[in-house]
Amino acid sequence: MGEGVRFDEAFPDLYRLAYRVSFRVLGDRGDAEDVAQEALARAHLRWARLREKPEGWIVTVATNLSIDRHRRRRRVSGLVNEPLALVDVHQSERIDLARALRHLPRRQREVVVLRYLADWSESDVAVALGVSAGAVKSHASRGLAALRHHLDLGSPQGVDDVRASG
Amino acid sequence: MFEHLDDPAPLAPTPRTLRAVLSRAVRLRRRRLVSGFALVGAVTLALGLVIGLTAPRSHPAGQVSAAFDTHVGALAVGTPVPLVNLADVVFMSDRRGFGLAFHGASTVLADTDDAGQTWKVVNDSLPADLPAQLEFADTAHGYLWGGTPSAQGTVPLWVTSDGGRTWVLAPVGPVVSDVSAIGADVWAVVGTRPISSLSATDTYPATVEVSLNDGVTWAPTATAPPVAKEPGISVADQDLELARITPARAYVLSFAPASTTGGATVGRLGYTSDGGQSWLERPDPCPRYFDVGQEMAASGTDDLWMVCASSPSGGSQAKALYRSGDGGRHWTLTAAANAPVLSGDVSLPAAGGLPVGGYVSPYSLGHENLAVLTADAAWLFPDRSGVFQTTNGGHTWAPVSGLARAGLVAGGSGNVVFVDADHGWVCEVGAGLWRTTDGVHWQHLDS
Repeated sequence: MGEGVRFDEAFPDLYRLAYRVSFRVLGDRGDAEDVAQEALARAHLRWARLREKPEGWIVTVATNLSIDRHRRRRRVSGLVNEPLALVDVHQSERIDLARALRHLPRRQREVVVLRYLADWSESDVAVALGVSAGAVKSHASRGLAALRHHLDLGSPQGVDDVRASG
Repeated sequence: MFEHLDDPAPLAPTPRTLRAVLSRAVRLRRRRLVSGFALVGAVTLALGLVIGLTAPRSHPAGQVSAAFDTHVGALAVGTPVPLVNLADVVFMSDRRGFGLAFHGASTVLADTDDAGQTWKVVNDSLPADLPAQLEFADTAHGYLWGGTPSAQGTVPLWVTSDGGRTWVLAPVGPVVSDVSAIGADVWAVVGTRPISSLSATDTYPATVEVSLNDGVTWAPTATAPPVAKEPGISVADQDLELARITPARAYVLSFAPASTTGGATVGRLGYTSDGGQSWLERPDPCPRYFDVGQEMAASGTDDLWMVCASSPSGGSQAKALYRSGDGGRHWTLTAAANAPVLSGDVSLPAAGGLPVGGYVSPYSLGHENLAVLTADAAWLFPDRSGVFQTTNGGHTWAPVSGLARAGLVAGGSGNVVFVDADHGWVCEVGAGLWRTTDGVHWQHLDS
């Protein structure tokens, strides 16, 4: 994204990006929209500094907001008469995912989020975080291994991901 | 590897979504205080947030708005502005007001001389777009600041002396966080270093500058107010509010949430009664588990209202209202919502009718959604909720039934504005404007 890109021009793609990662963690459209809007609003206030490479910042903020929201939702659940969401067959996995991400070290979390929640390539993650591709592979591998403690990632795909990551 | 967790049918962002985000950005920036004591010239900012992509309303105004939004090229002065496009309004009297309105992704200045019934374009090439903030001392002299920081990390202040037709860069800054004008006497809370010069670990250097000639020349107050130190990374949405009670008496409320300090939430309240020659620090009543924000309003020189807000979730948010009758020296918990459960502090009351639903902060800040008229009467419009009113000093709150009867749909977001006890407006972004002329009955204005 070039230096001259205006916020409203970049908005649709960035919003979809924020919504996608938020929904993967939260599984609720209303909350995911709320988080996406919050992330984009914060980005707007920092646009002068973000306009060159906003995507990584957006993904990271949206994920952190989602994790926070997930934690808050658990704290207040049962206390507020919230409407019941549609049945989400992946709810337990999302809960585990949020918990697992919360416990990752910061850099590992950033890499895992960009690499696997946002589906970025290793090279894109390296550019976004300003680190080497080797560092991305290392963090991704360790981060994914840590996720295994919380998630059932014993599938062949999970194994392949680790191998592909280095 | 997480594709199976995707939304199978994600909704595409629309121009309305962009508006909602811009409105939220406005709210993040804005920590304004209203002085109900200085009712004449009370500022009203009507911004809102439309959460979710609600179905378009079956209303002719929607067609008018669409035509306005899709208009290509400059808008002539006098072009009618649909009320649903208004994002921020201020009133100087029961008839005259100005407003910022969305025009596609840009912002125009509009004015009204018929109590908000109709609005017309004054300027379609403002030097700052939303989330800019707007204040007018009278029908000629106005102030515009905020919006997206420049590439140099500045947030300038623009001044008009001809009712918004032309704007001049004011020699104050470089980062203007809040402005309050009482006649020609104007104060601004400013950051003394450009945002771009601050590192993530720097704290925010802020002070107060004063102009006595409608914003033409400026000078700092003799001393700076106490402010919460927030790391530089969050300067862009620095939580600073300026409340002028009289030309000499003012409060500066600053708030640094835990998410920016890396530690505990910090709130500080500075007070001056000598025009900024000296500042005292008053206690901040909000317990630290109200970790998102706080806002303050005043009905008089000593009567202060402070609303504390926790992190929102699922449309709900714990809130607490504290009152002070001695200028902030002492505070009394007046009402709370869900706070005991959230905090584990059973000393907080769960009663009082302060709504659990809706967000007070950081999405609805300062006087945008809290209007305090007297020591007894106030209105509150939390985001994603409806408008609530108290007539007993905040001890109990109830929905304003007259607004529902006039067509305001609860669940949106917007702002409450009063210039006196009878004349007020409620703006719901994307829905329009409502007005009362007796403080009881409400009318939906329709252009």
